[in-house]
Amino acid sequence: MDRDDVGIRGLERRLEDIASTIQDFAALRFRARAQIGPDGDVVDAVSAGVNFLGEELEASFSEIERRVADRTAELATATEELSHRAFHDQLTGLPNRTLFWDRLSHRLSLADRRQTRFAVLFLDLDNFKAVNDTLGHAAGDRLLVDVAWRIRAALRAGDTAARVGGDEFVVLLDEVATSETALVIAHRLSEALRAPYEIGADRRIAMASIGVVVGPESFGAADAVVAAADAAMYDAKRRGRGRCVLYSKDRHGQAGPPPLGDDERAGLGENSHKALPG
Amino acid sequence: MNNEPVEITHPKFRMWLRPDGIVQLLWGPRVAMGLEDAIAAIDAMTELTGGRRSSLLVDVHDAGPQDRAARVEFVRRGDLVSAVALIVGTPLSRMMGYFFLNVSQPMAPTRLFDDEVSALAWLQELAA
Repeated sequence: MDRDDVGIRGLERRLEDIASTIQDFAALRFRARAQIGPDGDVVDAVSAGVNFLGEELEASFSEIERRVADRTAELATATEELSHRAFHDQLTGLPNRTLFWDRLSHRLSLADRRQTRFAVLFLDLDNFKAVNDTLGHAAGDRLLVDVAWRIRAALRAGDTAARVGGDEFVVLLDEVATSETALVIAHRLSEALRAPYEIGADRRIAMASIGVVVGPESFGAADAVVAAADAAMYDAKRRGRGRCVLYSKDRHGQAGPPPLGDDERAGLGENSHKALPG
Repeated sequence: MNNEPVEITHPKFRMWLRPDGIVQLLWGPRVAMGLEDAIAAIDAMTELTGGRRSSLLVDVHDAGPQDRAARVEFVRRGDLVSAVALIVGTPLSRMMGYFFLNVSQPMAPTRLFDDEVSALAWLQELAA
């Protein structure tokens, strides 16, 4: 083999090395490096150029990965926030109507498999309009937040409280042994809500009328359960402030969604906050 | 009396301050340059000039490859130089010079030269 053949063979090996490095970079194996000889000749220059490109590619790739990771994290946070907003009341942080109905429906579906009963409480603040009218809506909001906190604090693990209207809250007591148990909890809640509220420089008392219904009984759907508790709540309100009333089919009738044009509901509805999250 | 050294010797380079105020840097033959070497060169220039912005004449005509970290560091510390003249020779050094110029994009005016005379002439013209 003469010197030209040796030279050509050597050149081929060097070029193959460069080609191999290029393939490595294409496969995102950025640690690869083409060999650079001692002469600094044109093939060495190409090797160096390929290595330089690999370094720049790696840096760009890492930056892109970092940005994607950042954006993914931002998206996850935003998705979680949106999801939370979809199912929670923005003012009080309590579950909203949608989430409550979902949990109540689920609890109803488990009725045959669970030994214990459940209860739903419907709470309506008795003098909320007065607070709003005299102290303003900001004060009214603060009161609602405090009420929500007290309701949450009075419940057991596994129970659910939700805000479903301006000054209306519902509570699902996941497990109650008897109607009396449910009433005891309702009364305890009523007492907790009675303690004075500090609203700025003012001190106010807020009481709630509470309707209590115990399930599953013959309730077929969540709407019927809540309507029954609502009917009992109206009875409590009619009897005076801060009362708790247990639903009775005999006294309160077959529970269902209130008919359109019900004056009492329309009158109270005008005074309620429109507060469900948008 | 000026207590600053006139010449600094490093395993991979030699750097000195010329009477005309230009700093001259000569890299060893076929030595590869990494981040540590770049930092050493920058520290040497700071020591020679007392931190004053100065023109820099860099002889890489026979130097080895320089990695990205070194290039990034030189650009990052571009506050030390008012202009840079790179003397290139081998195809490898020329490739390194073009990469530094076109990819790293140093802030200070930077040009490639084939010889020391033209490189010095350019730096002196800029300084005038």
